[in-house]
Amino acid sequence: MATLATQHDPTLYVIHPLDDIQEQKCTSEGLGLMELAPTVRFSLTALRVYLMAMTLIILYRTLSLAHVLTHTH
Amino acid sequence: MSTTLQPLAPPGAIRVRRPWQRTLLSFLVAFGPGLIVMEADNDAGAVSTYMQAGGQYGYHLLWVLLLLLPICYFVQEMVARLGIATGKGHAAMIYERFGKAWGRFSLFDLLAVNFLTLITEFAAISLAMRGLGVAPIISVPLSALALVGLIATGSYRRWERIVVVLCLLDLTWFVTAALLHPVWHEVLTQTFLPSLPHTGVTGDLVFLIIAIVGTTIAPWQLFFQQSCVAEKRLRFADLKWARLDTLIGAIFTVLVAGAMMLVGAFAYNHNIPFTDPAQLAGSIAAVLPPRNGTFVHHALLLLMVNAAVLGTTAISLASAWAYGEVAGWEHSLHKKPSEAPAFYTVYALCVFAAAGVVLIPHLPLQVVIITVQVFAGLVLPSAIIFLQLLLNDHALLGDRWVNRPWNNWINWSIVAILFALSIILAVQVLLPNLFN
Repeated sequence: MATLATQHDPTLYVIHPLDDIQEQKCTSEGLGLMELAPTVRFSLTALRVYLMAMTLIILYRTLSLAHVLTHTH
Repeated sequence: MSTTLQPLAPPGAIRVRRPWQRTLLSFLVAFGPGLIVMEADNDAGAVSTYMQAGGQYGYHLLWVLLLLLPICYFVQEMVARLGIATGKGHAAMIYERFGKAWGRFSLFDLLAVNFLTLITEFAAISLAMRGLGVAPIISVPLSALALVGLIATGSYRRWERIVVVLCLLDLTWFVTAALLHPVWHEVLTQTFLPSLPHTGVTGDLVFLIIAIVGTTIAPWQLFFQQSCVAEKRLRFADLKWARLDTLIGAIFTVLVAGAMMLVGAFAYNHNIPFTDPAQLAGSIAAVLPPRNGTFVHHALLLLMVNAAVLGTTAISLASAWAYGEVAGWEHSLHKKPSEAPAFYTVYALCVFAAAGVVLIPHLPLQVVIITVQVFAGLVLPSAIIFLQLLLNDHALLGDRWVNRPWNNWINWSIVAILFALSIILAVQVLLPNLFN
């Protein structure tokens, strides 16, 4: 990102990230999927069910607020 | 006679003379994603939610913003760190490390919340421009075209510079709020020593607090900032600047949100009823002296448009980047539309579809806006859980980039708070009279 001055040249340089040489990043290549403990896997599944249920609740709430579910007699 | 060889400047390098100049410039070249993600989060829905909070409860909910400041920062710091460490977007990482099923589920959640949020952005543009005398049938399509034009230049840098300027326009919120002469000592008291409103804990209060949380920290922000950091190719050495950028963004966004709440509180203090921010702008102008009134009226409407524009470009980009990462398409603002057609098509589809929905007559916009914030608040904990698991992935990140134990404590606490709020919401919806 920035090069230090040499003994002869007091100039400092800053390089914009888009102009710099690309770094070697952390890669998941060859790692496969993350190993999840059974409890974590169960928790994530429970989370998915919970989110689906909550989505339905919000839908109900929205329709109520918009008076779509109001019964007319 | 000897010759001294001068070292060649690296290509594209900017030359400076002083160490402080290097420090400042190093920060400025990394600056952007943190401010943009935070300030774009003060979008049209946020304007509406914060003003409603001020309008219904005066200064009583300012403390919520103070609590949300560290939460915003800690969550987004993790995203920036993950983006710098992997050079990839959030959707790509979920797909690679958790598999297609979880990836699709997360992507579906993101796209659904994002699309609903985009509707609220165009709803605000429609309302605000109508207040300025421009019919929605003209303002909505024109703004959609302008928003597509904003990204279609094939230059990330150009897009970033324009959007940073738009973010800084939000400084006008402070001028507008100050012109309304808030009671500053009460503002400070309610921010740091909160008290319950005279109505006590009601279902509406809980619903509004969840909406504030939902609008201040939204799921798209996780995806957006990580993709943005990857797009900008921030380096490992830029992490400290990315953190500072994120912190500045978090402080700025919370202050702007506070200013929005103060504007709403003016209505509370003067018993001005309102249904949306555009209507409030007109009502406030009517009770102020003419010159101030005209300024506040126009400023509020234009700030609403600015908020919607910022929100739309960031949210649509979050969707387009995430979809592109998962589909394996070219997905970069560095590419021209002809080089990454699918990426630009997704962005344009998001924008035009949401704009089209807003033109449907009699859409209950205020209900849509509040519901979107609540939905976002509910989806957020699961998004943070995936982020948390990724940040504890030693196989991927090694020991250098993973969360420290204190990071984990803070983040699990955030997840617990968000879950508690969502469970309260569920109880409130199922048993509406519980708090009343």
